[in-house]
Amino acid sequence: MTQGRNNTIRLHREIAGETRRIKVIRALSRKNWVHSIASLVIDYMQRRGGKPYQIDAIKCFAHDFRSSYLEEKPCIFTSAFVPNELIYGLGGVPFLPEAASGFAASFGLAGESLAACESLWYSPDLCSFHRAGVGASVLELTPTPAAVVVSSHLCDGGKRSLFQISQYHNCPFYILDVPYVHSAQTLDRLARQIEKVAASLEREVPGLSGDHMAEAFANSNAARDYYLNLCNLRTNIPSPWRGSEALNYVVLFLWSWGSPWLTKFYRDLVDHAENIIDTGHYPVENEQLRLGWLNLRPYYSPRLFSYLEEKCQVSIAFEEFSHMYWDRLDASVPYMSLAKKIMANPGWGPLERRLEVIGRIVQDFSIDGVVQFAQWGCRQYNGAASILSDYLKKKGVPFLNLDGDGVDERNSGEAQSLTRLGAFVELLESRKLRKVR
Amino acid sequence: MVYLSCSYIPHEIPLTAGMHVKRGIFEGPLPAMEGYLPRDFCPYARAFLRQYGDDHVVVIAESCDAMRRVYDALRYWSLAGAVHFVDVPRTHDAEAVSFYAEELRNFASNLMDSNAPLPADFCENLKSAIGCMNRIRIGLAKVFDLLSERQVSAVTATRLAMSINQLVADFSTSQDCADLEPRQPRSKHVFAPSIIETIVRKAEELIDKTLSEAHPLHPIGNRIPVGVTGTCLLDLSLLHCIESAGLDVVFIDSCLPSRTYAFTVDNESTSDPFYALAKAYLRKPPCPRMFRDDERIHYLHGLTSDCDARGLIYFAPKFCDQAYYDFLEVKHGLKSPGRLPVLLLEGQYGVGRTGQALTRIAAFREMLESRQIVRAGTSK
Amino acid sequence: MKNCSYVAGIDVGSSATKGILLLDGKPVFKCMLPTGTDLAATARECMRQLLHGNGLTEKDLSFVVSTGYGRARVEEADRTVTEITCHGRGAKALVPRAGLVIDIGGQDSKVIRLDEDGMVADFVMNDKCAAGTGRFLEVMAERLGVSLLDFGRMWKAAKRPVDISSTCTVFAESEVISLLSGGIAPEPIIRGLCDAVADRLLGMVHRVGIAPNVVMTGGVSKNSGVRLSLEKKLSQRVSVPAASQFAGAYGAAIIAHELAQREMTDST
Repeated sequence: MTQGRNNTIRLHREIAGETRRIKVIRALSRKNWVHSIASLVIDYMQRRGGKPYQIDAIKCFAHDFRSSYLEEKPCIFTSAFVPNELIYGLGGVPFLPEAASGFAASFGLAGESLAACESLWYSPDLCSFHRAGVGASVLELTPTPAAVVVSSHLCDGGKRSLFQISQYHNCPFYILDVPYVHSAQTLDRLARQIEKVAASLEREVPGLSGDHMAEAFANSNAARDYYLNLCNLRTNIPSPWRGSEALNYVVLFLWSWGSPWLTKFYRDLVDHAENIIDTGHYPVENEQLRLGWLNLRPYYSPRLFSYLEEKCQVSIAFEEFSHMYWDRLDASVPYMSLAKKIMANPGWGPLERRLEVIGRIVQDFSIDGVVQFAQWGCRQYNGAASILSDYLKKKGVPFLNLDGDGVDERNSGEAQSLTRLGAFVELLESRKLRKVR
Repeated sequence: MVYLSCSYIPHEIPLTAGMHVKRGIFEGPLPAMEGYLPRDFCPYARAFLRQYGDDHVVVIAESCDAMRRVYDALRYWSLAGAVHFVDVPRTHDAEAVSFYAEELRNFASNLMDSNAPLPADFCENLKSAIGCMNRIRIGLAKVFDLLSERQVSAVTATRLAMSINQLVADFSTSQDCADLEPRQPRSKHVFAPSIIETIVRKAEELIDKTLSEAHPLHPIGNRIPVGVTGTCLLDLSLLHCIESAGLDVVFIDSCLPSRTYAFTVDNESTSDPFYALAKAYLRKPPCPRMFRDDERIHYLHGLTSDCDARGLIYFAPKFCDQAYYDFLEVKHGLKSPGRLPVLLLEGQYGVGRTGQALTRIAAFREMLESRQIVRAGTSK
Repeated sequence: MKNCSYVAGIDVGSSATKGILLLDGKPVFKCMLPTGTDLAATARECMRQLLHGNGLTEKDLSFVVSTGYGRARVEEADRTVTEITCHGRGAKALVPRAGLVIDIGGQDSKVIRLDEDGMVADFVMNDKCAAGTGRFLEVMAERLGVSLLDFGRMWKAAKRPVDISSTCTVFAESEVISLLSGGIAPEPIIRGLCDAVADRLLGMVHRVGIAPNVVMTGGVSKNSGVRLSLEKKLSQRVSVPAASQFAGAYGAAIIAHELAQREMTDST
């Protein structure tokens, strides 16, 4: 089995073509001493004045990456909206190739992963978050999955790309077929599926057992409490936290529910935000406007945000992806609880659910204008652009659909994006002036 | 009129509800709808989004991201009299079948426009509608079987399937039904077995005519046999293009038309026709949106060897994610054992009329021909 | 009845039309002219030059094969064959060991893998967008105010390339403008542009499967910048035969010769 698995992935790696840099990174990622050095670097940063929550985030990933790359714990690949409490609860470590793409892009590593994908016939019209995830996995820049678990809700590319990964790595693949409509029966069906997947994982993957479920649920709930507190603090005018940074930490929001590190991260972040409000040292000086941000951001370049936050003094006050949408989990009915979490996602089901959340964000966070980062190839979010525009117009809130690509630089024209953002900011400013008069 | 968006939604249910029904087949996106959906969106979804009549019912299945957005847009912009959603599972185990049976029952109730339970005779009527549709499916399957014998052209067979789709839709206005009492599509909900019987007879006549006209199209050995697969063919232009490039299409595995007919519903082994429908539809030849392990690859393997196809042309509507991913599975899945050459063609409506498609298909033919010559040489 | 052994291959490309005349399978004359808007007239003129230059008339030709994007518009052609097959055959004739052909034309690019017999084993063509084609480089050269023929010299003069992230012609053009206004010299930009085109081609090369003995054909093969970038990325030499631009026409002519032979055998 292992032999067959190695052959499949090696074959695809060869087709994809790999550079010397990739070979070195792959080899290093599996060395114990590299992970030990990483811990030293974190300690060093701590001494040099890194903010506690930033250290928590790095530690959270360093811890999980060590476990998964060195195969200390079974690594389960999941798609973006699978509740990872399930994986932590089974004693495994989750890995999200889609979210890892953002990472890879910010470290300048996405190019090779995307090229690998194109060599394997992936269309460049597919979402780059998925392509880079597959590419990185084929080049074995990611850990080796013991199994893959996906949910069918939200975008199609997520589940399909992870299915491909399971094929390359020749490992078990499980899909949670999420019903579209909310009802007692559909929730039951989903809960039963989650229970079945959990049982199969325990059976098929050595080292997994459900003993940690209560702990993972407790971690998740504790983190959720701090998180709600943070959201409340972010309604403050001016904004106590940079939205550009929040968009970076979306990766944690997608990845780490159930991990003890997430609780620590949000606790320290709440402290940080409270401290900012107390001292009045706001990250965007002299905040002029507040934006709501839909979908993700380009991860390879900070320019859009330095332009907004520093040059135009515009805050991104809140992001759609940061919206807390589920209730506290109940460890006494774990599978039903996770089913409810999945079904509560406002991106799933009729669009009214998403519109309602966006409307609430606009109101709660005193938003002056809404920008949707229209990720190339994202049918899930981009398809609603015309409706969003109309819906927000009726609420008197300007909307900008900003074309771009979060991972694949080749798909984006930064100069064009800056011009459009600039014009949008000017529009918002003139509206505000009119209101004052 | 009830417009269906997906081959997983049974025609039988609207027919039993006494409504005109058709699979939505269009010639392309309407310029007037430009701007409602982004341009980097599946052309079928963009064509499907249009202004329907106030008495029209549109049924969207949980097919893909694009069709979910069409569902939202149809409702938000009030583009049809009523819009229904049918949640088609992506798996086909016993639980999925039970779930889908329930979903189809809800669909029937929604169509009947009432919160009351379905009429007592609905199930019996549904069974007879299933029987009628089975007859059409069996007939069409016979026609498509002749593709592999190269006695009917792919264009002819597909056009026939499209005509029958239209025939089912237009039954009350067709010549043979003129003497029957015209029915209101949404108010009466009367199942009319005599009318359905007339449709089936008319469809069978068309099928029989095609079968009787079947004859060897070209001298055997002159043209290379290929299969065509993908998510959705959009229109006939690609088939025209392939045939005019000198290739014979020996099977079509696509949403339009083959996945709509290449199965029958077992009406006998269960008393619940909704369950029978759910089971048959979920387990029919798999569409790329389904997660059924490597069943689809096995199915294509079977088709290529049964029909002796020497190559496969994969058509992906531009920006159709399901097709892009499915192609990878087909390309890599079919390559290893038999090394069947696969050509990927992407395009919009009218793809077969573009020079790019023609060049690629002609080059593919030339490549297959040279292989054939090499093969003939080595076998001597 | 045509019984002499002159044959011709005509390649009507998007920017240039090329013609080759063979006598007993050996090239004796070639010509090239800009395609322009009237494809049929250009093909006719190409034909006239081929014949006139050798004191021949149409009757002396036993077979004509046309190829290229305007192949269907060549009225004199006895047969049309796609540019994929023709470039494969032509490249094989020009470089007998050729295993992989990279053809970059004005409006499209293709990668063709050949089997041992020189037949097309697999091929891939670029999508509709201009990235990775001659047109992309033309637009950039115009913007930089340099000739395409200088790309090789300038590539070598650059110590390292500037990273051009976009391969979309419009986006890349604005990237080039902002690099120039940022005081970056044209040399590293040119090397960056050649790298961007090579990257695009590399993906296509991997799709059909990399093979030894890579040959470049088509108009852009004369631009040695792209060849240098490709060699670096493929870690192998890329041959560009002297008549690389004529590979398509040559392939067409070879096929014409074979068909003429077959016709003769059949008739005897």
